Amino acid sequence: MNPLEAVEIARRQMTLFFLVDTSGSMSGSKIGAVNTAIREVLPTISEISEENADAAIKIACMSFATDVNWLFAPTDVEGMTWNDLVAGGTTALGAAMKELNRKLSRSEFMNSPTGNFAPVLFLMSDGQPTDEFQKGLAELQENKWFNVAIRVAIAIGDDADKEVLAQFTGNSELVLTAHTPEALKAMIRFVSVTSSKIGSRSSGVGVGGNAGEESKQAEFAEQVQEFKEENADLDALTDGF
Amino acid sequence: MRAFHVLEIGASHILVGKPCQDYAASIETENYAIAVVADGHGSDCYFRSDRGSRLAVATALQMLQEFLSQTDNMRTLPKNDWQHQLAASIISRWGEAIEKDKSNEEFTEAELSLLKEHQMQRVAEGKWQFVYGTTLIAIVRTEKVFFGMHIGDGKCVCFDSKGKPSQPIPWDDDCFQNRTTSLCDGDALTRFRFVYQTKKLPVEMFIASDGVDDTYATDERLYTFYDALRKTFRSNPETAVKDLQEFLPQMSAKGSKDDISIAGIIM
Repeated sequence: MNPLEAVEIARRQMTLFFLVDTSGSMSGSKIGAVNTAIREVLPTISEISEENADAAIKIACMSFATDVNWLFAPTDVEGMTWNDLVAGGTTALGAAMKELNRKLSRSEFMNSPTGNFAPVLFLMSDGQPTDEFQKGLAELQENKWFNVAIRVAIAIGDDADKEVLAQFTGNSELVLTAHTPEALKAMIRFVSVTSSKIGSRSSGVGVGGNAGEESKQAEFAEQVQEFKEENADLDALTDGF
Repeated sequence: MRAFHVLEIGASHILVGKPCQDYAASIETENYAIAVVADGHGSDCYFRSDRGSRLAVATALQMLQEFLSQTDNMRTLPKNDWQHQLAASIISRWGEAIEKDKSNEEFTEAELSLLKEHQMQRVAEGKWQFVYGTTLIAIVRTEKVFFGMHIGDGKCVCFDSKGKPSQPIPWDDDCFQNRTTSLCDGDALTRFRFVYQTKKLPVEMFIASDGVDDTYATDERLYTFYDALRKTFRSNPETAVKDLQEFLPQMSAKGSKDDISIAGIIM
């Protein structure tokens, strides 16, 4: 046997971060739809991970209300079971931004710059931040992982602050609005599946840095635009929450 | 003193019919050994990066040989000055080489069709060099000196006489995810990183494109691979390069799927 074969070859990984508002206003059908949609989409993401030669997909989940909590750090999606999120409290989105910044680092979740693809950061919220959001976001915007990530948000219901969510995504086109539990579930499924597919795919080989390279974020934005056009009826609904 | 190099087209390149965009070369004489690798950028807009990497390796090898033949005692040279001058000469000579390549064979319509509008605009303005974009790592070992220069991603891993690994060329934080600094950057000279050592010289020195780094993901695993490689050179010097070359298709297919180029110097 060739002695070089004995060294373990690593499979790279891409983490899909669910960042979920679990403030009191999310209680009822909103948090119910989030829980159902994520639970139902996990097997599909697991299949994408299994069939994808480029990278394994991991799932991480942060909930933010009065406090910020990690339900789980990046974890293999295969065999994962989803424990329902429970709503209650205020909306400490600024603290969530700070905590995300802390974890998107080499000493925390992204411990291998070559081993990790850029993550997907998927934010869901139905309200206004009740703390220093701008300060938290400013810190996060200095983070390299944040800047290369696919960033997307769903505004849940009419009271969600879409401007805040657009600041997070960096592009208002990447903020979807859900007015009903059905629309919210469809959007969570679309975002999770599409971003996982794009995010976990190798973006090429030795891509150079100075010719205005199209990013995965831009590719994902095109897919979001198509989804919006094909599902215009979802957007036309009045608020059903 | 022994120098070697190996090169393998990436599994993903084979699938889509892309050429190998890496290139590598090495040379050994009584007085010195040189190893060079270059990794041409992979996206469609860098449609001549395979030529860019080949010309970068050829240029660096030639410039380093010229430098070594004219320099009796490197230890008396002012450290920073000559390394920057060498890098500047390589950038300049590479620029001339790609210019010549372009004038010998102008871009075809099929090549230009791979560019987006803003990239076409750059070509129209005469700023077409990016289509040849490539990284470059070159190392030199003499009896008393080890030095190297590097732009872009890829890594240089060395082992001392006790088998301890290190990366003597500083990392550039601007090389992150799918972005890398490049010989085609307008400020390429400021992007070069260097190493120069006259004490505690490494005894095994390896350089490789990011196809290797991405395969092993962490520095710990990367060191384990190179440790196995240096032991292969120690235990089976006659077959080591062949063993490595035979392993590369598997490394690319199971690992990064990228082109892979490795070169090195063994004392």
